[in-house]
Amino acid sequence: MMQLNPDVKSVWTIYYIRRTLFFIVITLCLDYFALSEIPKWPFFIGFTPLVVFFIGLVTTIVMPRLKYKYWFFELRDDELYLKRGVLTKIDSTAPYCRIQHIDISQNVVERLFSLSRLVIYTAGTKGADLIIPGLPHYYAQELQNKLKEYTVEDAV
Amino acid sequence: MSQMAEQISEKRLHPFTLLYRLVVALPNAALPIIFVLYTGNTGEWAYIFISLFLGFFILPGILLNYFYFDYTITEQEVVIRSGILSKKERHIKIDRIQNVTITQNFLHKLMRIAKVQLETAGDATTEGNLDSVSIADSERIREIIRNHQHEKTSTEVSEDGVEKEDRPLEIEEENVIFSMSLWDTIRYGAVRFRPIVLVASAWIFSMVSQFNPNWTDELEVILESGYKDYIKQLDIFMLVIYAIAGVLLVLLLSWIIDILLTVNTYYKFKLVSERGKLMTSQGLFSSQKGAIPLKKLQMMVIKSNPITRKLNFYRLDLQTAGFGGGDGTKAKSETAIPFAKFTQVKEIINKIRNVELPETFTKVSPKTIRRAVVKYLLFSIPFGVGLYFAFDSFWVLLILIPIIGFGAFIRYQYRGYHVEDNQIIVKQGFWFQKISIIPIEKIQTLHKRSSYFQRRLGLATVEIDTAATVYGNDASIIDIDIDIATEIFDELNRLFIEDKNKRKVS
Repeated sequence: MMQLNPDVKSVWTIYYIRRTLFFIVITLCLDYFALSEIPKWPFFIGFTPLVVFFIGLVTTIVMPRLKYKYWFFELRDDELYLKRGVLTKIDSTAPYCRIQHIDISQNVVERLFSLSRLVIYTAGTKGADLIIPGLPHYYAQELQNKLKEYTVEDAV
Repeated sequence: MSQMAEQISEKRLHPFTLLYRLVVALPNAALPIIFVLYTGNTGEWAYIFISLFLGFFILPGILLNYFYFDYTITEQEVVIRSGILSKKERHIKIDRIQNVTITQNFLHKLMRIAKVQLETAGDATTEGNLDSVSIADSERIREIIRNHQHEKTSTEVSEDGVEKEDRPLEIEEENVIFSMSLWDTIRYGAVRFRPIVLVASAWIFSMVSQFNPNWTDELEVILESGYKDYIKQLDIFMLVIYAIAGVLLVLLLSWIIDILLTVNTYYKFKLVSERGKLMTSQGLFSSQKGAIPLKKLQMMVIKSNPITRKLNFYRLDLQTAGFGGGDGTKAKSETAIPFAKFTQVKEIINKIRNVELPETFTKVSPKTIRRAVVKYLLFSIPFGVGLYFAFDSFWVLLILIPIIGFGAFIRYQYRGYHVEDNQIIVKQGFWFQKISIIPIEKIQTLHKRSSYFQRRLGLATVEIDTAATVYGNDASIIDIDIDIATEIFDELNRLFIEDKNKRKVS
């Protein structure tokens, strides 16, 4: 079982900050325009964003660490095996012969930490693409090449 | 067969194609004009110009496209040549053609022409469309391709283990597995009760019921006399009667519409077995022919709703990965049997793929009842609040408890699974129950999922993903003990890889 690069925690932290900010803006609007209009609304304006802020703060601190702690992947003899999840635990397996193609992708945040993401496509339709985030670019390429060897053209 | 000309060379499409394409293109050109007429804004000459402009280009376009299009069929390949300025020649190898589909929509039928689609295992860019040729030609094209294929690949096809012996062509034509009489089709329509039809007929009803010529006068009277007086003079009893009558009328309307639509779609439904393929044909106004290549079959699903179950009628859907293969986006579900007794469905399943449905399924963990109760309780909160205010009594909520308990129990009762060497069978659903049969070799990815609440009860869900998981038709074994889930997960994985290796060797 292999773990991701620890820097991925920083990437996830940024995601969580972004998400928290988004929800704060939404609830701020909601609070200002809708909730304050409710007669006898028991809280002051800015209460819901504050709640969101604290929930966001806790998840931003805790979740990336936990996610990292529980993220594993393994290249077995015949299959790629992923094991991850904090609240909902998911084990996934994709037999090599089922892999259609493999992409390496990188978004802005990931580029900051020079990390890449391996996206593994199968012909499956539900949760079809398995994603391994937080890999150093050279390592992602190595994995891609390794997996490519196994990938067989195979009719569905 | 040898008397028949085995080739077609540089043939054009049927001349009626011109007419057909013109009729189809007409709405495009007319749209701006309609817009102008509708708004009454005749000052907008630009729209009319656009229309004329389109008309000016569409007609020559159709003509040129027609004259610069021809097809050739030889023993080796089908060649489709097209293009005015940039010429395109598409060569499709005969033995690559998976299927020849002939379709006719309403216009085609009027003009006695048909569309021929040559489907290959590759993606859409390697397919060929002949839209349209005469009916006789369409049959002939199919015959020729089939004959050429038959000469070459008679051994190749039989290898996939589905079709054991190579039957002579003449018998194949009559190898009808399943067909539906008109009476069956009507009965099928009568028990479908599709929600979408209900919504549509409610809409139609509301439109029609508003069509009162004196409507505006009435509104004026209401507004003049003050709406409060108007409401007062309404008879509550009559209103209730009207409302009930309205609901019943909508139900009746949707029932009739559903029957008519079903007859239109499934009229003369026939399921025919051909070399490694199942062919369906159906339809009253627009006949449809579908093909289900057995090699691409991903999942078989037996479906039922409470009414059909009561009458012991079931439906069989076959899900294929689509001709596109690969990306899975073209996965589709094809109905092989719309309406048949359970024993008959079982028989046909057995014919399609050597499957015996087990008498008993392994049950999921009874703890699922607990989870269902919690889930249903949450769902019924709004309903409960309504009940509480309507009856102004807390005790009335108690009647919810046996209902929820019973529902949860029924769901548990129906859920089950059965793992075999060649396939996995999953039973699930509450109102709309379904039994999914998935061949082991079609598994794409496997997932074992357990949420926080599941883990508290030591449960997990095994999800089986194939290339044909059409939305809402996924197969999951929900809420089994975590150890069993791991076992099944590993077992399926092992079976799959073994199967794969076996295939590789042979």
